[in-house]
Amino acid sequence: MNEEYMKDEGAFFPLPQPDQIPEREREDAMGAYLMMFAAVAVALPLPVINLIAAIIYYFVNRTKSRFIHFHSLQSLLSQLPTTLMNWGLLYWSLRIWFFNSLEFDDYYKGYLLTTILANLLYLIFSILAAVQARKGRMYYFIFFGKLSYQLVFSRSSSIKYKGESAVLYENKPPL
Amino acid sequence: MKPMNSSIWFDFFKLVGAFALAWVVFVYASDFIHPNIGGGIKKSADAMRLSVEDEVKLGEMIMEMYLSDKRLVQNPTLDSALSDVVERLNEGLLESEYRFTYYVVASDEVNAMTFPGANIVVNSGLIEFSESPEELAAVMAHELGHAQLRHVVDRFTAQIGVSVLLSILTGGDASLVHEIISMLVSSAFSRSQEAEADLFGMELLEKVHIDPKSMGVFFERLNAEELSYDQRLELIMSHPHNNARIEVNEAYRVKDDFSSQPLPIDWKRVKSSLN
Repeated sequence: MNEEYMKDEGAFFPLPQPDQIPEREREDAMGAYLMMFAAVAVALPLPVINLIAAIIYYFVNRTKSRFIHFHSLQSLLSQLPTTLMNWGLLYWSLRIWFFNSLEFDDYYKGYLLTTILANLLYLIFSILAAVQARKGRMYYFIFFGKLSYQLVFSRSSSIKYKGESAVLYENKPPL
Repeated sequence: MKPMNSSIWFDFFKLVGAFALAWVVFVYASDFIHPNIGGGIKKSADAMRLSVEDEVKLGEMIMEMYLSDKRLVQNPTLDSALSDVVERLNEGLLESEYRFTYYVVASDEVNAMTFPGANIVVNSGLIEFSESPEELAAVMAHELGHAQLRHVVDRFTAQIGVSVLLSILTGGDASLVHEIISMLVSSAFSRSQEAEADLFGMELLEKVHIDPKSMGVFFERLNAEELSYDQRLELIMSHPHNNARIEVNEAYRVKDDFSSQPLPIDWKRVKSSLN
């Protein structure tokens, strides 16, 4: 990909504005965040089901519209580190309590509290994002927001959305 | 619109850094926030451990093998003196599932060791080093703490599973028993375990009317001797902070109605009986 071309202001698709987004799309975008809580509740002892649920939700909904694609991708990406931390906590806890091979020490306590913090932050920001998505607004998490924006709204993204006329950007500027 | 690649990575490192910092802060603050966080859950794992009954059986097998190449020191004077000490300590252990057994092994090392099933091995060097039967009682009380608080079992159940240990009891695999012995001899208790055993020891001493201060006296003399560093010298090795332990001992307050009853033992005679 020509880097100079990416810097051109046409490198990103224009953002949809709230009055352009139909009710249905807003609800699906909100669902991307809210369905995680249902999955987390089911998956508490084994934090893997919510990841599978997030991936399924993402692939089912991503072609509906760019707005839904953005929110479900952001929801999926932002839960990855939290899930990884939960796995780490589960593994560590099992080593301590069932295999007696690790100490219940300060490192573990610190990790436990950090993981709780991460889950809390994830919970709070998911709710905030869900509310904004319902209003048809964009909401950017630190890092994940920018990453999702880049992946979804970049003109180099090759996903075809339902109801969107497929525009092929074959012709690029010479510089 | 500007390219976002560099600011994305900057965000990424900010995020990772924030959580790494949070972990570090929580590690140092966790004791401050709640010293026993999760302690209750840890207790429930006790069910996974070896039962005291099985531990005692295993302890018998271990002692048989461990003592096979050791020379036991036995004479009437020593035996009656030590059984007095043990009897007194056992008075405080009525609620305990353990009944402890002691062995005196000929060795110049100032050391005592706890084996599974509350089997305590005291080196003759330790008896020579201690200046009163109360000091010996203090060391034994400390070692009993390791048994009662199950530090001893924890040391090898982590590496050898409980199921394997139970198979030893039924099948009797000598090489595994040997492995357990080498684990017990070479590994050390953690500093927090030592502190717990100290506290247990002091409480036990108080219960049986022996002055808990005798433990601190013993440590102080150990410090003064500047005994050389020895991997197997459990009493010294895991105690690079003997000074801190002496301070804890000094800070330990006995109950108001505490009265010390000295052990009626002629210690000089006991010591001379060793030679």
